[in-house]
Amino acid sequence: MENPANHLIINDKEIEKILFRLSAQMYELYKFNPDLKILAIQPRGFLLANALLELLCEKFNLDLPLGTIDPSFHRDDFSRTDRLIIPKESSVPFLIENQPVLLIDDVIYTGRTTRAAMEALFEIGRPKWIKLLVLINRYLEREIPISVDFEGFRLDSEPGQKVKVINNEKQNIEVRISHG
Amino acid sequence: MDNQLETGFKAGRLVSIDDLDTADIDTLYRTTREFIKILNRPLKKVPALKEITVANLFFEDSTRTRLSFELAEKRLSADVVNFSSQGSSLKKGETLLDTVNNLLRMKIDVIVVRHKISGTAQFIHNKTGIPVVNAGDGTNEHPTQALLDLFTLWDAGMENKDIKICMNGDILHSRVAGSSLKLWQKLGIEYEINGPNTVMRRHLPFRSANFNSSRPFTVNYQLRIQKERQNKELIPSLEEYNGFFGLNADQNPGVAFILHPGPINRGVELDSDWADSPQSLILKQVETGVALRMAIIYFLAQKKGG
Repeated sequence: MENPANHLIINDKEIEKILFRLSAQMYELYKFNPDLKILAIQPRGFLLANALLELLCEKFNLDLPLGTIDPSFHRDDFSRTDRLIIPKESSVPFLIENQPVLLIDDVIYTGRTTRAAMEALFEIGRPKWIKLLVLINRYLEREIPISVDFEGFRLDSEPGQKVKVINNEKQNIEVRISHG
Repeated sequence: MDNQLETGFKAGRLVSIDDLDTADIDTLYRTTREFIKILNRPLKKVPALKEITVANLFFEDSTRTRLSFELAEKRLSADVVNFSSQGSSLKKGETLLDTVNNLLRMKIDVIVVRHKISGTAQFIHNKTGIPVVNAGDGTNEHPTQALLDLFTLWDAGMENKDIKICMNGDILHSRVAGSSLKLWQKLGIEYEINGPNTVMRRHLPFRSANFNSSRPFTVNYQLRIQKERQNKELIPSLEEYNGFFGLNADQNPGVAFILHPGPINRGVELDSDWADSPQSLILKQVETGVALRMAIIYFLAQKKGG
């Protein structure tokens, strides 16, 4: 039985369509920028980025390497969160100096994680430009001026709600929301 | 404040290997790998601890450990103050606790301490509740050294192999041995300790419970002769010690790797042929030390226990 505090808001069938659209947009971006470098923001951008790269390979016969960037060492809440911050792996298997970079995350909320990820990226090199792709854009709750270039779904959520992009029992991506 | 029952980084201290559980060690080593990547970049710093101030209190002489901690803290962008007992108010009769309390009033967030008296790091943590890292207390423990030694071995390709360590030397006075034996027991690593009878810890078994005498050793750990901690002659001569427990040029221990916590007494614990051999991880230990200490301070500075 479904937990009422944990609502399914986008099921896997709808997500499949959204992912196909996003992968097509990535392909278009790649066509005009063949040096494009894809970086997933850790920890949760990795699941989405992997799914998108699989689609790019399957539908567009395009095999791009995936890097990961962890924002932990650049967060602005180091002494302000009760949770122990445990860094995840940053792995950038390509040069990003003067290269176009697409950052991928599952959800953008306050924008602070994206800022931290970009700071981490700048310490490795100076990209030509950075664009941002997210599956869920909680656009009402941005706390710093960061905009999204490619979004899967624009969500009218409220502060305090938790939006999770997860793999369901069929290993398909779906989106759930809970309160508090 | 009494946090003695808590373990893990939430306990807010690393005074003993007992403060970490196996999950903490796993997290620590994963994070150390991330810091190694950062230390190999042109920009070797992250801003993680820009709001943190660390005091390094070294009441005993130290070169590499103090520099290693200081570099680790600076690579994390922490503000760092260094204190050594030479020329300090301790010489004027100030107590350790008064010294620490004065420092705390200067808004110190984390203390790294080395002291000749066992239990000093725990004492400071108990009295103040501030995150404390033990950089060596008397003959008790030196947990960061034990952790970095094992990490160095794993990084050299031994992580998923059944290593078997032979530790030789002054076990009684070695705080590295104190921490290493606890760490190896916690992780089920096979080991044997050897040394002159006068400098063995008699309450400790000389071999791990899983010791298998038919398997060859894969690692030789040569401890330093602790001349400064022996208050009487426990070893007849360094030449004799070298003959029985040192690694000589004409011996072949047949191990994949050799460790030593430094500084080396060449010709006593090991001859130059071995110290500078391809099997020697001694300089690698120094290199890894900075990254591992970055990881420890990064977690403790988060102060989630308070």
